[in-house]
Amino acid sequence: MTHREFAVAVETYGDMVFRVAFSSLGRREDAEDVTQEVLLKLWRADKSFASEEHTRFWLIRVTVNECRRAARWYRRNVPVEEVPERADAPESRELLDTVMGLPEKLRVAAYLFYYEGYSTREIARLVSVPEATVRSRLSRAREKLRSILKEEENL
Amino acid sequence: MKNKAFEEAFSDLKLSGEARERILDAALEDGGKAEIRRSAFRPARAALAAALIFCLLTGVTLAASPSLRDRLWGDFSGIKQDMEPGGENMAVYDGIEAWIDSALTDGYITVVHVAVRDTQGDRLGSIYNDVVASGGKLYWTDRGALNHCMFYDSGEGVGMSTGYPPEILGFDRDTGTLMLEYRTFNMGFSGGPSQVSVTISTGAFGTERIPIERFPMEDETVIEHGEQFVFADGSGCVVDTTYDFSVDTSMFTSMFNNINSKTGWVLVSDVETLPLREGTVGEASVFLSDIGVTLRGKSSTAGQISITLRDGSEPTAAEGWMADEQLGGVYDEIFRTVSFAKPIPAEEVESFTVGGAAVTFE
Repeated sequence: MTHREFAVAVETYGDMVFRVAFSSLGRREDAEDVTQEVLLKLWRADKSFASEEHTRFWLIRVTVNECRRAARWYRRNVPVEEVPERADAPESRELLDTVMGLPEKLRVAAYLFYYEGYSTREIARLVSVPEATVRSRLSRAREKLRSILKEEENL
Repeated sequence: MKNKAFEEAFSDLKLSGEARERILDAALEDGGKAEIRRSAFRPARAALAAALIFCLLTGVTLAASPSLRDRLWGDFSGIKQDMEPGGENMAVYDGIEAWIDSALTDGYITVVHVAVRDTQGDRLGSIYNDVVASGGKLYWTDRGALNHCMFYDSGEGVGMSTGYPPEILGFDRDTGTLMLEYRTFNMGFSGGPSQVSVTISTGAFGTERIPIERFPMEDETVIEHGEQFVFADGSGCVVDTTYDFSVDTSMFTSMFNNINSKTGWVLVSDVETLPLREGTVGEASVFLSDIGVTLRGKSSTAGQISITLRDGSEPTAAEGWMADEQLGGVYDEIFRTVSFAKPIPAEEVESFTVGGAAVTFE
């Protein structure tokens, strides 16, 4: 991978990796650290991926692993302290605040399901837990989000 | 299933321009070679690196250090049981060793940390993020057939599960050790030796999503010893003896083909069982230990489990470590196990409430 190709990859996948990391760790600073770690793994790995979907899956999986390692190794349990202001969209801000107030495992599952669009089976593989556990986490997240989230897609 | 509200809420979460520049600069600086951040194993790095060199030279296996074990177990470090590698506690294949490093069980909830190490190179570390570990469900030797399993060997009384992959705790680059955490809820059966199968597949990312769905998942599809099974895509295998773990560089979907590669179970038979207290509510029994609570009864038994301690407090069951619960069972039975976020001595529990009904203990 050339540096130019890497720059394209950072541009293409940087936000996604950051969002996954942020949904797990809840702090911009930590999420940026993990994002750097993950993207540099991509840089060093110099892997060939079969498709864009394959690349995304690999990156999310690596991000989940890195977040898990960071949380476990350092035993950090910090509250969400920073969420970008959205004065023009108070409802979105409320949802984001509520999501980030969920326990870490619930919000990661919710993010991967409702934002990235992965199925429960795919999430199970991404985060290395049984599918039943993913469903349970989504159910618990859904209960807490129900009053805010529009039930537009048959939650 | 994407959701518009979610997309709007998260769309403004973006990597900052400064962070992008830092990443690009870092890539230029290290040329793809340097480490950016060390793992938390770093404090013991020098000593462990020296120990690893010694072990590589002498062939001695390095167990996880006490401090590493404690860190991995967190609040449960005081009641977990450490085990030493070697003998029946180790399986070896193609220069890769797997052994039980430590474990914790109350007879219903079992958590096992398995260490896997390459004695001949860096096949695990170099592809750490491509490692998929599976086959991790523990089987009580005389009840394996009751689990959903991919393969079941009636002669040995063991099988492999498809549905319960372990969590990869991390890879210790200083000792070259991959640490896995297996959990199981034992469907109400306690006692007897147990075994854990470890399947390691590397290079495991295929373009096809979740090939595991093609596995036979019903009890009646259990494959007996020596039987051949062909999957819908034409791949298949012959069920041979029992299988511990294998290392393969092929895609995940081809694990069928290398599953016969090696025999050698890692035994967990020496793990001590914590004392259990038993209570009843309606048609259900509740089993309580320091590490969790298991509800066993008819499927009609349901509802939120709440716990009240003798000091009047009501701790949350678990959020974070060991927070999973599992529904399952056969013959209209329900097994619901909730593990605690940290050890709660059983004698400190005043009562349980399940679906609004109080539990009394005998």
